[in-house]
Amino acid sequence: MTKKYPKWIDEYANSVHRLFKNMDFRTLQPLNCFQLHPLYSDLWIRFLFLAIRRLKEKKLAFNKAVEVFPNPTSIRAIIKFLIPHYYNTVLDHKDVDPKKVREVFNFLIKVLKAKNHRDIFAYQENICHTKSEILNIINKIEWYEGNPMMARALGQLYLGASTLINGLMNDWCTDCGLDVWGPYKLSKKYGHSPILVIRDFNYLQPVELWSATRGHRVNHITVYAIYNNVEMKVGYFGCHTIFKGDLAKNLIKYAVKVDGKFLYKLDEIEKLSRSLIKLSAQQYQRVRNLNFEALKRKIIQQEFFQLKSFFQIAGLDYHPPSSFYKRIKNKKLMKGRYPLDTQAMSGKQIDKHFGINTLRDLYSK
Amino acid sequence: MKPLLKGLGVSPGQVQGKVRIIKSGKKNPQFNSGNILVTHITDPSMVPLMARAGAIVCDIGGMTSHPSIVSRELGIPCIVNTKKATQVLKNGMQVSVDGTKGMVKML
Repeated sequence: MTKKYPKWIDEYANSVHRLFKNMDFRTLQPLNCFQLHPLYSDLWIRFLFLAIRRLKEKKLAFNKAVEVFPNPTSIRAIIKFLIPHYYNTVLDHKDVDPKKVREVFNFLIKVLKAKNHRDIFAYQENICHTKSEILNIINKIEWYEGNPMMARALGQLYLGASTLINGLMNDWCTDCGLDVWGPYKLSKKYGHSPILVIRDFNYLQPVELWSATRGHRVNHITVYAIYNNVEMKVGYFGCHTIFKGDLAKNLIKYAVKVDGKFLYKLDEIEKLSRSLIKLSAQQYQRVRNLNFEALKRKIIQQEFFQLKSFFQIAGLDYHPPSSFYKRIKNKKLMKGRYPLDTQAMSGKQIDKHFGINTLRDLYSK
Repeated sequence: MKPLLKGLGVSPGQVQGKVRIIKSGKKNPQFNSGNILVTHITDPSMVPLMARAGAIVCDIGGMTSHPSIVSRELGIPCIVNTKKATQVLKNGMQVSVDGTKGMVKML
């Protein structure tokens, strides 16, 4: 039987089945967005549709539009939540035009395909550079020799930067500021089976969300690492990396770029890590100090912030409209809709409970 | 020897060390370099401790939870989803943590 819905939905489902298998929803902080989203799902879909329409009216070249979108993992995260958002509107009988919903999904998938060169839902890998871009990186960067001590220092840098991003953007929008790209296979001159892994941390200073970050000295860090005899897999989100092999023993080359300037010395990298670790603990304290109402508002602001440049180019304010705040004010979380305490769900259960079947129906109408 | 605890081994390697049970948000807990960080689930308030931990053991979590990802990057063993690490293990216990097999044994 011919399927009436696009192929990408099955690809998405395969990736998400694996993603959920490896996740424990109980660990997600600071609150569970699956339980917050139903309060404003219809508004979010309508706002995205408005932005896409405005962009199309402006007749901006598509490749220019792609440039203002965040990294591929962030787009995947937005799609991953947009599907339950749509499912919520169906369950709650909200008046949302299916044609408009399809237009939103089609647009985001087109952007994702333009950003990700293959495996768009990162079932195994997160390939976001062309071969020539990788060659350019390899040839233009000044590489330093790796060693176990430096590998551990890079691990500490990852700990500090990723946790700071997590505190600034919460568990649900972390990807806006963190992506891990690769594995990019390299020539044998580096060893038997060398790969390049790029860890990218941007938005370490989202002043619009957290004014205290004005004092942070660093905004963007990129860590380039070449490993030999290390296998890397990515599961949907760039930061969901699973490595096989000893990263410390097998770091062949490295380079660390901080706001455009390269750092190589161990003591400089360790100093930066210590500073980020301290900032991340302080940031988490700020999050903990928010009361429930402030926390809900912050989460909506973070959801909008991910698409700040896109909304701006469409001529819209990236601050959430008051209608969103009205929807969540003094409202409890909607517990019970999603089976978030159930571990080891089957693919069929995920398709049913997380809106994938409803999405298939949307395209079959 | 029978393991004290079993869970999901998410970052390989084997180390021995002293257990420190850490509760979320606790300010300046006693924690020495190489201690085994045992907690319900790590959060960013524990990051300074994670940076010095010999291994991490959590009650809950999956292959791609925060402690799992970070431990792989740090190259230290990690076990999650033990269900009861914070109940079974006690401060000061000397244990061996096997992140490959997902087992904690008393020394």
